[in-house]
Amino acid sequence: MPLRETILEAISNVNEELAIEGLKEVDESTALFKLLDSLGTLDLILELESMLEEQTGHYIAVANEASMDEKNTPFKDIVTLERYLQERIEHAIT
Amino acid sequence: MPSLSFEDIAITAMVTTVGDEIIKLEDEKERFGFDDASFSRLQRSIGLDTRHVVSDGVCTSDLCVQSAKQIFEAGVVDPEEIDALLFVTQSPDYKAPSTAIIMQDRLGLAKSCAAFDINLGCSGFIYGLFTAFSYVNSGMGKVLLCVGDVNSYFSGERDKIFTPLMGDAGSAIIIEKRPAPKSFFSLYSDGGGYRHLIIPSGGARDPSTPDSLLQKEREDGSIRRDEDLVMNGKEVFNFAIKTVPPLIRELLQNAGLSSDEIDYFVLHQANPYILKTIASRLKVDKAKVPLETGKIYGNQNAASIPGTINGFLSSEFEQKALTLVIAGFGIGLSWGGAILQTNKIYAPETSIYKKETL
Repeated sequence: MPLRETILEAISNVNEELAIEGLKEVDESTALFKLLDSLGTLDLILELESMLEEQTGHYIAVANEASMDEKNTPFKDIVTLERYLQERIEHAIT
Repeated sequence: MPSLSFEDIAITAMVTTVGDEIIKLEDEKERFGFDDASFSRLQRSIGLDTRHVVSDGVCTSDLCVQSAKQIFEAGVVDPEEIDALLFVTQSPDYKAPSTAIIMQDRLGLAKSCAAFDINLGCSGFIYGLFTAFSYVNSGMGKVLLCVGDVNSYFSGERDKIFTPLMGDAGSAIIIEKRPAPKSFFSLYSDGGGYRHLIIPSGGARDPSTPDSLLQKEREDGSIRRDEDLVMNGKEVFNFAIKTVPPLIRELLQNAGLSSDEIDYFVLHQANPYILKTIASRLKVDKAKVPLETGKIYGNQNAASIPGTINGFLSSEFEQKALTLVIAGFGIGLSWGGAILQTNKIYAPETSIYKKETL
């Protein structure tokens, strides 16, 4: 599955429980980090880790020291998140 | 941070007492307004299940006094031999005097015993231990370190972010001169982040008023007083992930040890995901990083490192010599760690508070 689709599916799965209005239709302008609280962000991290492990066969640690840093978070929007996850996957596999 | 080290000083006893009331998260669904979905989310992401809290009127000092009495009754040390009593807490009996001084009398310690409080939370065990090691190093014979908190007193009645995490515990630890390998400490502070974990009102900066005692609904839907502890979960998560791995690497480097030579990494039990992430960043075998304390007892603040040892590793600590990395991190912001060896110490399983010990 392309990475962008994985991200959108993970957000959708997490939002089934969170029911955040702004996450029902996600596009490149959606401010993910602002919409999620700390538990929501953690939830999305766990969901992504689980889906990526299933797809790649590798455990990919999604959290980093900027995960919840407002200025530098990779969870700012889906474009930033996609770029960040691509790097994590390449790092884990190589 | 300069490399801080001690020789021939060791922990010889450690006892933890927890609150006698066991609360199941499931029974608190209505209180915090959790629906089934958000409840299962909390269980999955933070691994919460039960927590131990005290009944009304029981203070942190009561839990620590029971722990200390258990050490004395086991014959590990005589109360008369204690030269200093240090009490690390954010929930003292009174604003003044220091609770440690009242505990000196309750425990029958000598009047020649130095006693005072240290106001710290999750890093408190490390700071208390460093202070105790320093006192022994300066000539004191045996030091009693008491650490813990009754978090219930400053947890919002319906604060669904903070309160479900928290448990009540008090530990007592004996530190004394004893042949032991060198131990290493590192201590850090960053007051720039003080607002990320704070009890905003009730101190001299923003004194207690009838308004600060009112339960108020907040933006995140939680209900708490201005005199309850408030946490910025995102900032605290970030702080832990950013500071703890370099702290542990620094300790290992100072001690000249590799992580393979460490038996356990006993870290402050903030939440299992933070601990797993720290272990993963350090490339440490996860079996060496206990993380179940929060699930059974709740977050015990300064008592969470001894609470984890008594709660889950008691028999190993009683039967073997072990090399440990310990690290605490939290309110302040404050963090610190140590590498030390324990050798068959008195470390019974966690005790439940009994009212008659008062």
